[in-house]
Amino acid sequence: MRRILMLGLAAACVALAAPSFAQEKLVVAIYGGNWGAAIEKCIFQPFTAASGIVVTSEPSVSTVTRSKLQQQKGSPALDVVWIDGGISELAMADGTVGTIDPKKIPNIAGVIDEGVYKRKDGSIYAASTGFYAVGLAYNTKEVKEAPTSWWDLWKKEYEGKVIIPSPVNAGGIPFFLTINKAAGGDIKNVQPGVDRLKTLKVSSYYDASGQGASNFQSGEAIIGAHYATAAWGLADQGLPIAYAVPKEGAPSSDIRIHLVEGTKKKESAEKLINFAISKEAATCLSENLYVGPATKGVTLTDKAKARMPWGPNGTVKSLFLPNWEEVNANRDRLTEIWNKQVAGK
Amino acid sequence: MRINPWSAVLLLGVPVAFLIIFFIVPFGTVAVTSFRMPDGGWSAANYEKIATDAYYWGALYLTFKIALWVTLIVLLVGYPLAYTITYNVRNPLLRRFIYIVIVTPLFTSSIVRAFGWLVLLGRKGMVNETLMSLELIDKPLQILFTEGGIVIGMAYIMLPFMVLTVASILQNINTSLLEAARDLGAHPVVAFLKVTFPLSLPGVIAGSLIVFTLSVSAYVTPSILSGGKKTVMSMLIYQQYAATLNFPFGATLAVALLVSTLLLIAGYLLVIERHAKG
Amino acid sequence: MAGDLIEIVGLVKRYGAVAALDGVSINVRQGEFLALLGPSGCGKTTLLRSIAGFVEPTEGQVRIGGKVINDVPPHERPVNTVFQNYALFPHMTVADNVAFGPRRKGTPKAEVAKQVADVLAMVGMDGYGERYPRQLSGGQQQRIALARAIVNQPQVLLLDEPLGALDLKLRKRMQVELKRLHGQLGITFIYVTHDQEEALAMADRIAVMNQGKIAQIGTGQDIYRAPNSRYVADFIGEANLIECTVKNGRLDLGGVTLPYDVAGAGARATLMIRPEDIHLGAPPSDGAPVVLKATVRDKVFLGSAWRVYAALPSVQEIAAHAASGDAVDHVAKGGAIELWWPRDRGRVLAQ
Repeated sequence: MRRILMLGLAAACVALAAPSFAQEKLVVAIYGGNWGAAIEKCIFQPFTAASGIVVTSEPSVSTVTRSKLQQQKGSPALDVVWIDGGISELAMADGTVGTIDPKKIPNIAGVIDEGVYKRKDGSIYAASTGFYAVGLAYNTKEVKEAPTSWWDLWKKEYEGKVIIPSPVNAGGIPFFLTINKAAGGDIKNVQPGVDRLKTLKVSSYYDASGQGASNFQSGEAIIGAHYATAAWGLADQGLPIAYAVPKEGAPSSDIRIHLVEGTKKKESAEKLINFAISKEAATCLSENLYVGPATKGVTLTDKAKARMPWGPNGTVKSLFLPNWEEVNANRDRLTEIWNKQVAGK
Repeated sequence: MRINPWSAVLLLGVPVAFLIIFFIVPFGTVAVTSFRMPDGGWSAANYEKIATDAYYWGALYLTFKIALWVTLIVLLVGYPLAYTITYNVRNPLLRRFIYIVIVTPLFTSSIVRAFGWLVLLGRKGMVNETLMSLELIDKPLQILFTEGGIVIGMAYIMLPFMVLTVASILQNINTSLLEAARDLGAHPVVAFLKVTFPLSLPGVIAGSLIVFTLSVSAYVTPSILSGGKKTVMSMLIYQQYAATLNFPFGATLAVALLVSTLLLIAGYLLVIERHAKG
Repeated sequence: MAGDLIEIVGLVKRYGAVAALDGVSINVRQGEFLALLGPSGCGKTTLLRSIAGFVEPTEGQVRIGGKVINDVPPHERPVNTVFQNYALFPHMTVADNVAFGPRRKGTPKAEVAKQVADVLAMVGMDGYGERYPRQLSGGQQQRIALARAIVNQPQVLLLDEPLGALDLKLRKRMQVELKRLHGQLGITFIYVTHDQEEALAMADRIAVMNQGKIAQIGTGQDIYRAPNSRYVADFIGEANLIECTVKNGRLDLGGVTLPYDVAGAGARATLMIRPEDIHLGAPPSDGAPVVLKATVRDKVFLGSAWRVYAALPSVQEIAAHAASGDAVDHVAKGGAIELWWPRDRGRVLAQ
């Protein structure tokens, strides 16, 4: 606990110390790991080359980015932030993210409807830069028959070799709700989902996506609910891992870009956002992270097309996009139920 | 010796300021937060929830149980190690080298080390492969994602703290005391039990307190090595702060953990003091 | 010599190239008080520790009561040690410290208590049993260390500079007490010290050590009167060491022939005379004294006597310890004097 507070304090110090005098310098919160690397490669580098505006990235997970914005409210050190679906709604409610003005950011017109997030008054607060989903990742050597349904995880031969995300993971609660829905429950009644999950013999529950990937790598897990991006990333490393979209639907989310409310470099920030949702940036992210593009008219290679979170033949319509407001309102309750009845079974 | 009042202010002021800024203020914030309600009001409902829910008592029990096992194992491994380094390694260069080897893991991120254990302890990990090839077992042991696995991973991380603390005390025990014991007819084992060990108790007590408190508050290692199947307090706290975003409840859990740890330590010290007097 | 309690034969202890003990042979009689005397680094403590069992000799034997004990571990040797820094167990009371040895032997509880009480009384520390070592003064700790060792009734008591940390007054008193205790107990004492006065005051025999070897062994008087080398003469008491040449088989000091026969012409030789053997004033007619003329360089009043520094014809300086009296009282700095000593008090030392 203390460690977390210290971390926040240290982060605040770093943020305060960051230079604010250089005009053509943006501070942007992105993700760590290969997600952040892809954003730097596909967006920051070409953007800086074209505009001369320098971008400093600050990697952190969405919840921490949201906390930073809360602490910096009024005089933000961040100019643009990437925050996942789910947390994005919370940041909007906090009033820490600004409005995307289609006049200043004309590329917003090229973003599909599902990727434009509006407040009740119709103003835009976030734009998607790609969709991801939690589906069935599996080891093609150990799993002979490609899985097609979530219930395949319950097969006897996979006992003790299954991994699923915990509620700490962004995909955890959406996965829980997906299973619950497939079992006949709804958000008010999660008992059907709990009863099913109780009987699932898992190897472990992962907090971080990397933990899940490492379990596939070491052979600890041979099948599980995992991100398409992570699964295909392992495949790209030469591991016998594949990904399938379960017929009951893959819970999905997206990586969203936001303008920070009150940024002093609004003009440069708007330029960056405009570039981030351009066709070329979206194409690059999709090719690198296998995220489903939120920008219309993106043409993908066959390889990337086959690795989309909605599957080779799907569209954004085949994704199960949770009702985040509902999820957020129930996070507490759902996590506690999970803790007591699923993890602590 | 007289101390200039200004230097006294400086001498005392700096650590006090440090303590206030880095401990009391953050902890005060946490303590205040724990009474906050979602509607903006104040209440002790969070404490009531923890106190009346067996689940949280269970998590607290598991946290202390793991920390106790870690302390015990680290003591059993660390003490002989510290003893050997102090008394049996004569070459000062070799001794320095051993110290460096013991301390080096501290410079590695605990995430990296926990992932290392995932590889070692897994179904197809080195430990199971070795046991299988020796035909000691015919089916991989489930070590990973159990309490035992957490204890092993944490014990490895905590070992340097015990070794360094105990060794620093052992080094300061006058060797002529051991010779005196031998001289007075004590077998080496008796000399150890009657002289070396009692005199090294301050190191054992300090080392076990350090290891215990660090184990109670450890997050990374248990969260990775538990595989989410065992939940210790630090994981619940992190969950509240990072996932459910219920900061007040996270703060309540943190305060509960801190207070119960302090109570346990106070009890431990009280028992030791009684024993020392009696 | 057969029948001696301790026989040390050709003992060598090497640390790498350095020999801490370089062929030491020495016998100690039952009930004897032997002092090992020498400067630091001479090997006296190493020798003591070899007897105690803390040093494993490279060569040679240690025998006690005729039995070779080289391979006997310290806790099984019939010896006990009083350590230089006392080495009292800080976590035990005085009584527990003293009872440590008897308890190891499995002595019954009541018997232990009695032994502890007796030995504490013997060292004048009765009533201190419940205290901790840190609550005692240096001298008191010293007594406890002694009590802790002798309660075991060892055949040999080894004392490693036991009085080194005490102030002069206390040291003198403890010397007397130790000597008395030695007489009472009848135990063999081997006593390491670098203080020659202490050795002379207490020991039956003194072994003077130098560079890992025994330089000379004998009674205090033997060694004081008849040192066998410059080293011993210089170490024990004060000595005038007069550098002479040898002419026609006799000592020659700057042209003055001295009545000492020396073999080997042309060589150099050293004549040793103790300051207290040198007298000032007219020599007696009988006894064939050695007489020299000298010039007074300095004169220091010591109370009971004078210390006179005089220059010899050969420009060497000589110190005389002269009792107050006419001859000394009136001699002035720079004045010419005659000094003399009985011939047999001078001793020619090998180089």
